[in-house]
Amino acid sequence: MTSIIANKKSDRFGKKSKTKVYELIIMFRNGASSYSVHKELTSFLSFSSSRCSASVFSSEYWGLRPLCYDISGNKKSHFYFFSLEIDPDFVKEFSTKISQSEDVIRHLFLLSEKDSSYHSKDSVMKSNLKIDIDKEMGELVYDESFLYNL
Amino acid sequence: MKKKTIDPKKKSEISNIVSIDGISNTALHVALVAQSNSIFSQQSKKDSLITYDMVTYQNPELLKTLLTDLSRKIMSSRHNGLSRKIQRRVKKMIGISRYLGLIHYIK
Repeated sequence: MTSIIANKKSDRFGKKSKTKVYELIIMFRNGASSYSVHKELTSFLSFSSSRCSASVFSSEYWGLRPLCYDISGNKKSHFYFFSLEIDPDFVKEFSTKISQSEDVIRHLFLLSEKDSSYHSKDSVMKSNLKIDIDKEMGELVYDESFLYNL
Repeated sequence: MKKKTIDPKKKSEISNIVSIDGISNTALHVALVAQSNSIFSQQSKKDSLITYDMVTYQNPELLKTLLTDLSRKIMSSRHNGLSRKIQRRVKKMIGISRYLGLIHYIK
């Protein structure tokens, strides 16, 4: 006759998921082609789903925006926005994976205060995109070939 | 003491602020953010029309109004008319937007 002794709470009630909702912003350099950008984004998301068991809610492209100061010799950069649910233990591995690519200038993980239902809508930046294009007078470029749809 | 009520219609006007030539940034933001009869009045703290959800790194134009002309320093809550909670959030979001290149560190 076997007896199962469960001393810890995780053994009794099962392990709880530690996932949290993060906002990911990736900035690519000005001279990158759409093919290379799409190739790297697919590698990032496949890594996140396979290794980190993350789920992506939304993806947005904010266009080729001018920067207020030069970042590694670039005056403009492509902005990509992702909202995903991931275990915080895997955030460091994911960030090292992103930083290894040559086309990525900067990236940022932000812990969001809102739920996943909030991220199903368009973000503030995307809703104000048409207004920003008129203000920048041609410096802000929105090319649909750089759109990355999940 | 009667509490002031804020019109919900006026909140939408501040989300997209346009800069006007000929007027300095300090005078502009004081007129919009902290409503007062005179620009140099610091007698009482006026409530601004900025809410907690409007302050994000994705809205750099609103954050620029809370900075000085050369964008070196953040204006105090005495000038802005913001609460302590929102002022702390402003400091955090300005740092994020500066890192992303949406706002100057120094012009």
